[in-house]
Amino acid sequence: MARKSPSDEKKPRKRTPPSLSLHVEPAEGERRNVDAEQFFMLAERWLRSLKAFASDTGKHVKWEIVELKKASALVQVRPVEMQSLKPIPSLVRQWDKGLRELQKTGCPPQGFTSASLQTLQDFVRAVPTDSTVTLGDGTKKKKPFLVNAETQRRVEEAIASVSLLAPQEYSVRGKLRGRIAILNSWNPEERSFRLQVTLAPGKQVVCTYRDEHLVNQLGSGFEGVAEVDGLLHYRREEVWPHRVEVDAIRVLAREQVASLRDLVGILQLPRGQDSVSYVRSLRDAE
Amino acid sequence: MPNKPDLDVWDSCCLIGVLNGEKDKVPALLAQMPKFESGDAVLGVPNGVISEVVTLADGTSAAEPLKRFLANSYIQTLTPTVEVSIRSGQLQHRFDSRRMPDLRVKAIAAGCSKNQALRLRSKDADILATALHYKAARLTTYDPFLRFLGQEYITKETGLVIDIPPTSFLPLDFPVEKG
Repeated sequence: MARKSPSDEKKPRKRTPPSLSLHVEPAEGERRNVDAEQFFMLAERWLRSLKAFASDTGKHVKWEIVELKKASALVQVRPVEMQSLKPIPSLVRQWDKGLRELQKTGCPPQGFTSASLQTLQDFVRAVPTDSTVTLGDGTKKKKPFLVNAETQRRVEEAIASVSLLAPQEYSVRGKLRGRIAILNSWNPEERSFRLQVTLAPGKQVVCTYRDEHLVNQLGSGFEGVAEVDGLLHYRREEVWPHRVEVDAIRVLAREQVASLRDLVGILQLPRGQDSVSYVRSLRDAE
Repeated sequence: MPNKPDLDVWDSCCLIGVLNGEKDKVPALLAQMPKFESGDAVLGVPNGVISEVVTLADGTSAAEPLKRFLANSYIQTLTPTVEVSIRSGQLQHRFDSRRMPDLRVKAIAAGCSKNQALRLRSKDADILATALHYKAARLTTYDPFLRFLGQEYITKETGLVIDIPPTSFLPLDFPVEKG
């Protein structure tokens, strides 16, 4: 029996990361090419809604083109990590699943907030009436998703239900930690400073205060990490407050701190319980 | 603009496990500290966790060291906002075996107790909702039901990892001085 040459042996197939596609073709029966301007306008809105969705899920990605061809007009993209350029298949699956779920139920799917739903609405509203627009997940396993008037209605329903849940703006009493950045204490009527939250490097929270004694604390804590206590004002779907009415400030840089190691074994749970069963005994009793 | 550090939210069992000197938890939890101290990550502590841990330590000699630990600038206390409460409600509604019949069977198969497998309790939902709302990279917990939800549903849908702390070594003996 003839031996197989190494080139005959089956090489393991490399799996292509999933991608998302937008396909535009003239409405049934029409024989014409797709209008380029119309296609790129639609593709731009589609991409904007993908970007908003990725941002909602907390993923910092860019979308790269995997395929762009005239058949009749198809663009295929996939999200990749900004630094490593590694594809993120979970984001593709979540978008595709979310869209199909939204079409069925009209409820906001997991990961979609009103910001990404708004951009999705911009996209579905821009679908030309003389064209058939389908969305896919880059595989042939699932039937492409047809964007039609029903989709528009479902997206509107989802936006309406999100709007009903949380108010546009609200306030909560609480604490926030960050680095004190800009101090503005010269005007007694408008004393304020900015707090830079470590987890949102681009955001500075405006902190206003009335107690003039706080200025002394601020001066010594300037550019250090502080904890402000007061009324936190939030805008819906923003993780961090945009403004704080400060009642008290704690400059953490001046505090004597303990390490986690200092806490090891300094108390004993009753009846030899471990932490998991102790926490369960509290939470299951509700 | 500086890079955004990862947020690692700790459940109460992590801090209580350290206070109680639990050998299966302390080495791995201590091994997480360099990433917080170097600024690569922020340790998120939901208000609900602070409440459970401080209540336990209150009136004991552990109260003062715990207070001093919570003053570390690498810790961000996480306020439960209106949106956290809404999301918590949605999670409780979803993860209830009366509405999701296979939840209980799957959770028991994954090692959860029969009672816990019935539904997601409100305090657990608050902590999970907090981690999701603040876009945490991971929720560190030893709780079997939360870990099951992570493996079965949450990580696939949102990317949030719900698990015990990542570690490259096996638990070792360490000296514990009981207070």
